Amino acid sequence: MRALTWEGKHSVEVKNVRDPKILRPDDVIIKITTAAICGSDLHLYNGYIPTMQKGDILGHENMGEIVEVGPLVKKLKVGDKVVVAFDIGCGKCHHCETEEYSACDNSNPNAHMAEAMYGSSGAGLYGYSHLYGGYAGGQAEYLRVPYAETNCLVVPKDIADEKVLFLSDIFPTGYMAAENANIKKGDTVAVWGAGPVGQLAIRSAFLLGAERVIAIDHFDSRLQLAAKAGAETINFDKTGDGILDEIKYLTGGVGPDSCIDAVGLEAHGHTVTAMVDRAKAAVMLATDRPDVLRQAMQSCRKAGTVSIPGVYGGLLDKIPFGAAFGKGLTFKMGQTHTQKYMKPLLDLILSGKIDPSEIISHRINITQGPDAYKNFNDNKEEYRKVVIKMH
Amino acid sequence: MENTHLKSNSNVQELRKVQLKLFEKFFPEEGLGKRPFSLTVSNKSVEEVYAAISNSQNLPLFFDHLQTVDLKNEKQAEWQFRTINSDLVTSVPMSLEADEASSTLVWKAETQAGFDYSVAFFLEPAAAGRGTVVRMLVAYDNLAGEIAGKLEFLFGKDAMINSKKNLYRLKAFLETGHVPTTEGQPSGRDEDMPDNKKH
Repeated sequence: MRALTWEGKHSVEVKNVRDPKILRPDDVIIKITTAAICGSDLHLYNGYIPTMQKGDILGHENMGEIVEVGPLVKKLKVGDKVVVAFDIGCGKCHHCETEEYSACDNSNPNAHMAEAMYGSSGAGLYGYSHLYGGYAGGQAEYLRVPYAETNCLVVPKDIADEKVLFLSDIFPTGYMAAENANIKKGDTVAVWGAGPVGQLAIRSAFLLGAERVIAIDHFDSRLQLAAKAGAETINFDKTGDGILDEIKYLTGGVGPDSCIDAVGLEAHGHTVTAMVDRAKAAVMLATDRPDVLRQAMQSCRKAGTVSIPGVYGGLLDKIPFGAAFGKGLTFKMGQTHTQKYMKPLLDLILSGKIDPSEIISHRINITQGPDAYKNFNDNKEEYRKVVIKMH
Repeated sequence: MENTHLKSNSNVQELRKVQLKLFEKFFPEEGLGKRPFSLTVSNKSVEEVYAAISNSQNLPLFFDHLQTVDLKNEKQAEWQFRTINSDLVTSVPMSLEADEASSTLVWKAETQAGFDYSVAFFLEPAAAGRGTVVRMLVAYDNLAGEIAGKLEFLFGKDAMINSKKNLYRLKAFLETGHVPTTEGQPSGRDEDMPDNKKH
């Protein structure tokens, strides 16, 4: 089969590789119909995530048709159209039983590696480093799905892939980010990053009762899409290092009730700290560039909540924890427990309350994958969300 | 929190005393400050976990590189290891040195193995009825020369890391029925490519 493989920093190739096969009795094999390139795939592309290996198959936003089932699979059958959660839950451990799927104890074959770095391991992920299990991803024509009954959501055959594909990651991620933000009716929510997760966090914040949402980015096209969803916008290229003053101005000096960092470890910006981050990361003196997180902590109102769906990988420098303590902030963060949200969010899509496909900017075939990675990385004004049509 | 709970549970305290004595007997060089790896197996009682690990035929299902266990009698067996990074099989004569209180098992390499190698499991009920705490300790003599080479040949450069992996595999085996794997999946690396596509 053809697959997009990671060949090193800034290097993705299309390769002909072996087809996947059933390796455990509760696996299924799916024929990928549509996959997507996630913003977090760019962290891999830019070499920020350790333990990638040359030849790893990329892709964790996947859906398709089941073509083979393992002998223990009873609730799924060949021909089912399924969306696959990006985080792999075993369905049996304490965390899976309490719907904390991304904290699964058992799905990461390299849990000992993650334990050494983080104290304990989260779930295995598709195409997202050997620290997270080294599972082959789904930017390929076929994908093996372990613990399939826990990780596949059957969707109606007559619905377009594009409407439901993002149940695999970014819609649940945006929704959980909003849920983690403790939004109450009438609240003001600030969202840093108007990329795909940010867009869906904005829409989810309104669904959960926010009165106002302030979207912060520096790409006009993304801010325009956020405005279309009802958000007020801040272009930080225009505020420069006055971003905190602008937020205070817009919130009457109070600060947002909730702040959502949908950017993560590769923040851009014009503040002094952002520039220092870039310099340190360039010479490998820092693992992450956490300037959005600093801004969220500084601007959040007293006793407010900071929700962090953006990915962080290592040790964060100059975090204003005194501000967080002084204001009594609440933090919630982490990989999304996707399986918990897939069904209720599918219902929202089917009822017409939301259409996640509106964030798609480009549709490609697999041979265009390497160029799409480069373009997505270099031109975020134009490239917002790339979906790959496989079959 | 855990200690407060355990203080009120005299059975667990007694169990720990028994295990501590075994620990001192079989792992004297580790010292009391050395903690064995611990994981908690959900929804399985001590009895269920003990039943699983005391059946030595189950060991290869979660013990990486252990291919088979050939029982010679109730106390002795040949553990057949596939060596790290090769398909050679090496047989290690092991004897069951302790099997106590349905909660402690200690396997030890016999003298003719040519090196010191011990594997121990200690079980106790987890707090709040959350299953069973499994503690695992693997010890081997860090001797120089030929013997050290043999140990590395068998268990890799870091046998302790392999031991930790095995404990994770045990937990997954007990909770899900098998251990997670990516062995056999496709990749773009030459060793995983179809023969006509290798570079």
